[in-house]
Amino acid sequence: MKDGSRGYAAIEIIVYSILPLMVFALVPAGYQVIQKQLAAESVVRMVAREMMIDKPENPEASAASLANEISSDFGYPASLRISCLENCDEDGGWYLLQVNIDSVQARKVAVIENR
Amino acid sequence: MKTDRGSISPFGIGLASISVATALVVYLSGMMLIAQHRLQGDSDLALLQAHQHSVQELEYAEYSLVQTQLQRYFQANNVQGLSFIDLEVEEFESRMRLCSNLTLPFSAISLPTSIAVCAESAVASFDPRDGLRVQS
Repeated sequence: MKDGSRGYAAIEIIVYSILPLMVFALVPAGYQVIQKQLAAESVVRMVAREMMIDKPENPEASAASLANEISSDFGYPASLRISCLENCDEDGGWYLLQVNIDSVQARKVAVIENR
Repeated sequence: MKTDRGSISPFGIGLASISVATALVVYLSGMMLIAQHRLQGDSDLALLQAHQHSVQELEYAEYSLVQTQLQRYFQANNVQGLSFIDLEVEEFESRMRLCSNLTLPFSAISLPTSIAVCAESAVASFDPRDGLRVQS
């Protein structure tokens, strides 16, 4: 093999073998992100549903404890933020729930009426 | 092998194609799965809220009230791209089927750029006249 073709072969190996392997290596990372996003969507949905059915007196504390309880079942530590969208008083209101698991985020509206 | 002349390009191109196709399949299937999951959650919560609201106001589910509350919820929850909503409301039971257009990142190459993602939800409440649960 000539020196020139040896160098070309090295470039071919790098371009055609190592780069595809790097792309393949992204696949498990992609799965992780998808799994976390699905977990976040599930947690926020279950918290909103529980709040809408149970109509807790203290939505902030109740949502946080529910989120912790549910996310521990999924095996991902989640943090929840709750903010008032409209008409939040002792009767209830429209609350925006936002769950973060690492870098992914999911949000849903929970409505508590006529507590 | 008589000589070492030739190229590994065909092998490399094949491997690169397979890896890009795999990454694309994972990305698109994940995107669709997440969109479907999100739409199902929105659909369940919207119908639950709308049905509950109507039952609290009138003691039964009424079509126009459920529909108005659904729109209000979708607006508050920033649900976009809904292309189809089929709502059925009976006295103590509401059912809904809805579809949303998911935009795919293929606008640069002339492939279909959107796909329909659908979800179905049902909510039932107690009949206050006899206290029986109509359907769970």
